[in-house]
Amino acid sequence: MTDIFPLLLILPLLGCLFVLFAKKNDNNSFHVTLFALLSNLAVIVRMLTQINRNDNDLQVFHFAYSWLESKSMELVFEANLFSLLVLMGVYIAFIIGIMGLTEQQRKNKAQMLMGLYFVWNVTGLLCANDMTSFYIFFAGMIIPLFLLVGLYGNIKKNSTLYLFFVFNFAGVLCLLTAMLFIYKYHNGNTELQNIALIKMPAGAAVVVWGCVCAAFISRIPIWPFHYWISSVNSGLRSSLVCVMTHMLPLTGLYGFLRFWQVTIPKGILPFVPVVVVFGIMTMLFIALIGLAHKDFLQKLFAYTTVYYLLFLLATIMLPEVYIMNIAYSLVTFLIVIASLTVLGLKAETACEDSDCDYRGILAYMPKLSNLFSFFVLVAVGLPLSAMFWNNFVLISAFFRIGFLLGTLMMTAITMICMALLFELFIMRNLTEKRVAGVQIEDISDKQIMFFMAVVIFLFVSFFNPLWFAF
Amino acid sequence: MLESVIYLSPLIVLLSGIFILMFSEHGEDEQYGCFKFSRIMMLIAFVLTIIFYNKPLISEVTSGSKYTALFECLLYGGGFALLYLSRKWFASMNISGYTFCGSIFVALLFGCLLIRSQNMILSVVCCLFLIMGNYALLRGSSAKNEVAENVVAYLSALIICIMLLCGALLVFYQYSVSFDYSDIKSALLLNEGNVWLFAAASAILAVLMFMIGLAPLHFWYTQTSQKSVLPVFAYFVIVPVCACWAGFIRINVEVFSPLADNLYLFYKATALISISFGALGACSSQNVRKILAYGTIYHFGIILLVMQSFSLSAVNTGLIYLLVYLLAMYGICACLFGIKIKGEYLFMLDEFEGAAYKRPYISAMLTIFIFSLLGLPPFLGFFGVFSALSYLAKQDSFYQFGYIILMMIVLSYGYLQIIKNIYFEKSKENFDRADSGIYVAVLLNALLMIVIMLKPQYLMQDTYFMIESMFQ
Repeated sequence: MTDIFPLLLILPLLGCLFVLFAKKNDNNSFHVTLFALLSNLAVIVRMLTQINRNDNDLQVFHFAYSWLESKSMELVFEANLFSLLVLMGVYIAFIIGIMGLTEQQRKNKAQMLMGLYFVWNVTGLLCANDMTSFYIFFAGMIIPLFLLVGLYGNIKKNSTLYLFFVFNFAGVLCLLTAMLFIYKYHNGNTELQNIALIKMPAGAAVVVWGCVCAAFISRIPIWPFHYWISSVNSGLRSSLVCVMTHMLPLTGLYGFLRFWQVTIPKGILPFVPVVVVFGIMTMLFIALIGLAHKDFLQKLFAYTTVYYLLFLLATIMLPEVYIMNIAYSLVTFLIVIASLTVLGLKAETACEDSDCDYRGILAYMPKLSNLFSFFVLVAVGLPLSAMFWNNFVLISAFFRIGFLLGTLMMTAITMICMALLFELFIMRNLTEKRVAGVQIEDISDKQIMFFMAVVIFLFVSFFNPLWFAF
Repeated sequence: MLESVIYLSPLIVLLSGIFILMFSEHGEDEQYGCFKFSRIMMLIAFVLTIIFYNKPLISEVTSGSKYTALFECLLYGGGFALLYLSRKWFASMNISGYTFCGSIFVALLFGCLLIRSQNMILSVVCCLFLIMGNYALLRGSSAKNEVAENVVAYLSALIICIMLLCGALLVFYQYSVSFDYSDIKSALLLNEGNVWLFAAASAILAVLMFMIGLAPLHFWYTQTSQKSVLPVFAYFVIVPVCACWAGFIRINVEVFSPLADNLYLFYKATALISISFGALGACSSQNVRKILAYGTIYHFGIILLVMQSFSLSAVNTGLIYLLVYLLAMYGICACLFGIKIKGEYLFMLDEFEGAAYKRPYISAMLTIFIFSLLGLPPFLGFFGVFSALSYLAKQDSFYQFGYIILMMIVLSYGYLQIIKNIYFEKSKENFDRADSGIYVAVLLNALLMIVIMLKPQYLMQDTYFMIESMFQ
């Protein structure tokens, strides 16, 4: 069953190589990128079909690469149902992201190259099963993201860009510190599930786990560090880069999922309530910011943050049996935010290119309006996708832990959903007189067909989240 | 007799090269000829060096091993690349390349001797000639008045170095009646706690540290780097540094090991000062070469911090970091050769604005080499940072570990300024077309790095076997 697993890591790299030698100002690089993403998606689906759902042992695919010809530096990769599902969500989100690029943006080789390189890193991270490879992919993804945000963002202050890099770099160095301490006490590389078995002094354990948590929190915009990600998002006009920035917190969340579920030592358990309190505070705070913002993409950022924090708290507080609920919900969530990013960007760009007011812009673009409404309704949790059931299960589990906890979470989610619905209302409602003679190009038929496929995928997942595999 | 002459042949080739360059006609038409001749001579010397890598160049006072061969390869590689990349600039600027080629030959000759030396007087002579070679090059490249001021400062330092080295030699001779490394080591063991011997050893080490550019003796290094022309800058960050590190490590391991406990604190303080000065200096500069020079001081500080005990594993770790640094620096210099406007190489950050739009491949490689210096995976620099920090963690040097991490974040700001200007600013100037030679040099460097990244045992394990013989 491991035959095709290495392809997951090879295909994006091959794609990078082809894009590197593709012609400039041509669609070649776009086609190569799309082909590489679709091929890997096919590999993921094929792997999912090979998994026996009734098998309790989740780790199915495995391969190792002896990097230093010694056991101390053997890179181990494993994929299970959970990681494959999240990977599938990531790939679909990226495909949506690159399908949303304009004709001009599709000819940009650098964007495609760095996008594919980022995907390779995300793939590696989700498959990594040892400390070294996990660190390599965790650290590797900040380079393309920094370059793309700098190239295609509209960051007014240079200090924001530096802060973005420095903050992420500090997170990377925290993980490096944790990794080297683990090396010290284990005399070499170790598989993630064995970290808890390593004997180390209590002080060292606090340093290791403190660094691990700091590294992952650096990727999730928990207050007071939420500013950097919202500021780099502002002004981005490339749907691919937007999807990438939305993907960054996923890496932090996944880190918590991999480390927390099996390896949490008793030494840091007293700090858990602090993380929980900060998490809930941030959820409420960001949801309020989302209500106050007047820009759809900012509201979307607030929405993603609130949901990422929901998944984070679920990882920390809920038992392991809920892990598949998180996975099913996460897949839908990734697809929905990618779709909303692409469609929202289209609406905003149309608004900038024409003389029309932002209020009621969707009234000029009926096809886009219908699709946009569907995705907003999925995002707010209506029974249209797998997110409905699984979020319901997660939130009820929180209520079981504590009524206050559940109430606060529901308050944050309700506020952020209201913000999205309110924005939808503003964008659709044409209270002012329609500007005569204004023609705004709606999305193309090809794009409608593409998004219809996404809609069908999501809707069927409401009945069976793994309908395509089993 | 014949055998000795054959073993000496690399030096004879280099020496004859120096004499031919000194006495040949310095005409404008001879520019390309001078560089071509130098390259051929260097290639012959290199081949002979590799063939006789484990033979003594001069019996009794030198010895060869895999360790010396490694540094000689790096030295020749750097020198050859410099000659190859700088020839067009000298021709286009109508500046005589004879001094430059001659200085590289002097550096190679005395650098190789310093690497292989096992006699203190020979090492001291090599150091002096290397300093004088640097001085000649600085003087030759001083077109502007500011550089001339540095030349005067360097000359004063040269005089102080001569005095220090002569004093040290006298002290060593008084106690060991020989200049052989093993005799001096025996004298140090016999006269444990002798202040004069410690002072003499410190004087030798201080001169070497001055040549390497470690803080607080780094003033000449950063000042000359920011103002000298690119070929001279590249020479300073690669060629003498490589020879001096090799000599510094060898002297510490083979001669001054009895003083290791006394030198430990001295090295630690110097290393921490270098790390701080390097990281903070890189952030405060607007000159790309000064940023890189300060970055170099930071990296050398880490190497010294790791090597402070000069045990086998410490030297191995420091060597890995040094090799990674040298490869990245070769690449950066090659890339800087490819970014110029109207035939002039660039100094200031704002001159690099938008270079990525006009020279995308060279800019991309420059960015990769810079990220490699920051130790980010999957680039080669990761191995350097990984081995250095891993070593410190194993030694329970947690404060030093934390300090390096902190300063690395500070240093990243300096490096990011270069990347920001290259990528995120609009291009105002038309950048010149880069030679195909520059692309070849960058590609070769990148290929070498890729090979080592795929097979890291060449770097992480084979270096161990190379230095093992020094400790036997």
